[in-house]
Amino acid sequence: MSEIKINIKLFGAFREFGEAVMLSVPIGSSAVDVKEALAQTLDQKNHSLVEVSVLANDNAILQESEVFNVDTELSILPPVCGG
Amino acid sequence: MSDFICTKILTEPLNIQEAYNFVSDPAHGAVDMFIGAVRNHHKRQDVEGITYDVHAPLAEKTFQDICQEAQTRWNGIKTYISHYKGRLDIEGISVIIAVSSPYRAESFEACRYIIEQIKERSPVWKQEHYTSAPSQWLPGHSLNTKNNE
Repeated sequence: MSEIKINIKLFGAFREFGEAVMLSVPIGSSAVDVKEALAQTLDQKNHSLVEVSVLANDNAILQESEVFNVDTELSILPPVCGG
Repeated sequence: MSDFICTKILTEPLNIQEAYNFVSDPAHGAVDMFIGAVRNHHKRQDVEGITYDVHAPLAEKTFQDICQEAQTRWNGIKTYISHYKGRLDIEGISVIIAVSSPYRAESFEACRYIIEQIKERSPVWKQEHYTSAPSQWLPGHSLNTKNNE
């Protein structure tokens, strides 16, 4: 099965893993699939943090049903606490 | 930036006078300002500073959305938001919100609305630095609506 590359920029508590991680996922993967791949890459400890986080691009938070068919750059946003 | 909304994410010190100057208006008799600053304690821990991480493009868009919502609720107000990105020491200013309106009630209410919405919706994160413990990212509000039901 052909794969695409998803570069995920890391924020907040994910910063301990660096600026970004590159994932290879099957073409047609959904946002849920990408989050699962991210959780597996980071390690089991962070499964719950990934679960309560959302994927976004520079314009919007993505729905979990969003599907990716080409190489893409995304961000993972953990729970927020600004101000 | 419009004549009525100004939003910024900055890595240089935030400027209270600039916020006032933006919202100041001859027809507005009220200016309300909220200034967030770094506190030296949190949950019995001594804090020596906070690092603010920000997803700048989305935060800027969220700030604009929040200001537009406020203007829909309180017609005619002027709004200013600046948020710091980077590390601040104690008493450093992390956020400035300024709102002006013809009369005070709208300014008070809109300013409160804006800071509460920023805390709930804006992609900003805090890492507290303690004097006698490892630094820690603070828990927050999930942007995944499923987690907030």
